[in-house]
Amino acid sequence: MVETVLSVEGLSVSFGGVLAVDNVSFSLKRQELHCLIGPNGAGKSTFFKAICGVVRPSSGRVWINGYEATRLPAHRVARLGVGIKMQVPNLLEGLSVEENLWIAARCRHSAREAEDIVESLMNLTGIEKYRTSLVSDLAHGHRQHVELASALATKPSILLLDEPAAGLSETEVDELSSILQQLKNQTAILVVEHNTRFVRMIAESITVFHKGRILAAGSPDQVFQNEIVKKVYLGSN
Amino acid sequence: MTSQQTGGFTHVFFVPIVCGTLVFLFAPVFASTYTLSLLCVYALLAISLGLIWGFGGILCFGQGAFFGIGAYSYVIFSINFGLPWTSVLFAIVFTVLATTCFGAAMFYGRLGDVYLAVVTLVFTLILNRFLNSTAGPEYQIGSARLGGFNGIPGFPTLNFPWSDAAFLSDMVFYILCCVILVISWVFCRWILRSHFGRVLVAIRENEERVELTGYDVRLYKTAAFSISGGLAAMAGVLYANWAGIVTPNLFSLTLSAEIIIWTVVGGLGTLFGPMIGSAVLTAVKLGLGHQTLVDNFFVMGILLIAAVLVFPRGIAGAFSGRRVSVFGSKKKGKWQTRSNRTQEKLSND
Ligand SMILES: Nc1ncnc2c1ncn2[C@@H]1O[C@H](COP(=O)(O)OP(=O)(O)OP(=O)(O)O)[C@@H](O)[C@H]1O
Ligand SMILES: [Mg+2]
Repeated sequence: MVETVLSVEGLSVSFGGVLAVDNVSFSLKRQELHCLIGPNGAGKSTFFKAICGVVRPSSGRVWINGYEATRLPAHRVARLGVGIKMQVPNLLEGLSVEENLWIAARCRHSAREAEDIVESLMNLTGIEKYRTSLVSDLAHGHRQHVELASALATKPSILLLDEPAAGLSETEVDELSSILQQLKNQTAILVVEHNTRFVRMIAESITVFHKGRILAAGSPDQVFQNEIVKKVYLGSN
Repeated sequence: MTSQQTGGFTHVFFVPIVCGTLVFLFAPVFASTYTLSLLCVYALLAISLGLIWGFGGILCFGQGAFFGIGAYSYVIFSINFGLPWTSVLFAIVFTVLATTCFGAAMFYGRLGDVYLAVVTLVFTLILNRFLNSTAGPEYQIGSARLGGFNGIPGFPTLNFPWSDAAFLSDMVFYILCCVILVISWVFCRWILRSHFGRVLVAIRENEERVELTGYDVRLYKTAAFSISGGLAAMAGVLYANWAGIVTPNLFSLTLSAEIIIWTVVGGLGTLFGPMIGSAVLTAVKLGLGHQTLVDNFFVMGILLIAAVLVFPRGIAGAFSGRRVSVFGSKKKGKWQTRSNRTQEKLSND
């Protein structure tokens, strides 16, 4: 069993000369629940996109479950076991909730397994009631749950969540954190989040991004006590 | 569960088949089989676009080109080798190969939707230009002269397999067209209900999501494009046999635009829609052909605008009252596509 599921070495992404991600090295262990925080424009989303093959890194390497994934097309990275929920809405708008999940589940599973996965995920995220609703008709909170469920439907070993709590009410945030706690023994989870309360609830360890670089990393207490972090991020919040 | 499935199956599958058969059987009472054959050919051509545009979100202006390639390759092969039925096979295989290469180049090159429409349009116009310039004797493939704007007349047409001289009568040819149309429709329905078809619909909804899930979107789109090319080629072969001549007009902008109008007027996202659209509009066009009072295209244009304003989801879409989900509800024991629902609804009306 590979202990390190995701390992990134010296990853850089530049957009026309602007370094959005600057020489970042990072690793994620099996069953780890890790949070990525940082001010707006720090490069967190770009870091995610570079890992899953949506954006091409200008240098550096990425390994997923022991396989090199640098510059692989997005669908190949997904097949190596990466599930992602993007920051922007990214669902099959004209399809129902269960169809959204089915498409994802069926990719690497038989029809029968796919149906089981769809049922269990709707159950987990509490969206059974909306199984036949079009996702474009759903309220924001439920859409976030569908996003989470469809990222999970491929049974990834690495789950990347870009701002899963954005726009959720306090109770919904609590629900989400308990869902993530339940998922912890199935998959490694990396969460980008601005909601400090949520981060404190879930994080086992935290990495702080600033201007494309890693500013600090460690346990929640260490990070939130860190003077520089307070200054660039927490202070500004 | 089995009986329920059989019940559902009878309902959504056999009802349209029975209605379709009745329409095909009684249509010759109202119009000549010669005209009706053309309507079938165009319906097949319309399905070929309806499949990739309505379900895959691929707006292709090149359907006329694949129609033409199918027709020309049939004619060239049959002039050189006789054997009409083998030529049919050859024409389809050749066109499918051509569309696969063309599609792969576009989809693996990550061409955007708008560029794809433009590139396929230009492709059609280039072929049109090229074939118009092939009047000279140097443009000869085997014993088939391309003949420039005059096209190629006089080639072996479909016959009964037991004798070269046993040509198909108008009635038999009409029946053949009907059968091929029905088979193609069943084939498309089967595709759309398969895993492949559902992924295709998902790609239409959000390509990036599907890609991030682990599907190779380029491969799926290329495959859909090839299937559509094959259907258009089949229509082209039938057209060549119907007309007895092929000309560069097959590659004209007019035809390619018409196919798009049929699909929009009939109903995007359904299989029945494009067929109905093509039949209705072609019938109108043929009707108008006998008078000189108003220009054909003027009427077509008015009809297109009227249809888009009055039935934004096309004729077929207007009949299926509410917006339906693509796979439909699973509670019925199976999943239906949007088009199935429409067809069900249509066959009940
Ligand atoms: N496609 C793009 N083209 C050009 N620049 C981009 C692109 N995507 C991101 N950037 C730039 O890269 C930097 C990092 O952006 P990114 O979206 O990764 O930040 P982030 O940390 O996710 O911020 P937020 O917390 O607001 O989501 C920003 O300066 C942004 O303007
Ligand atoms: Mg971001």
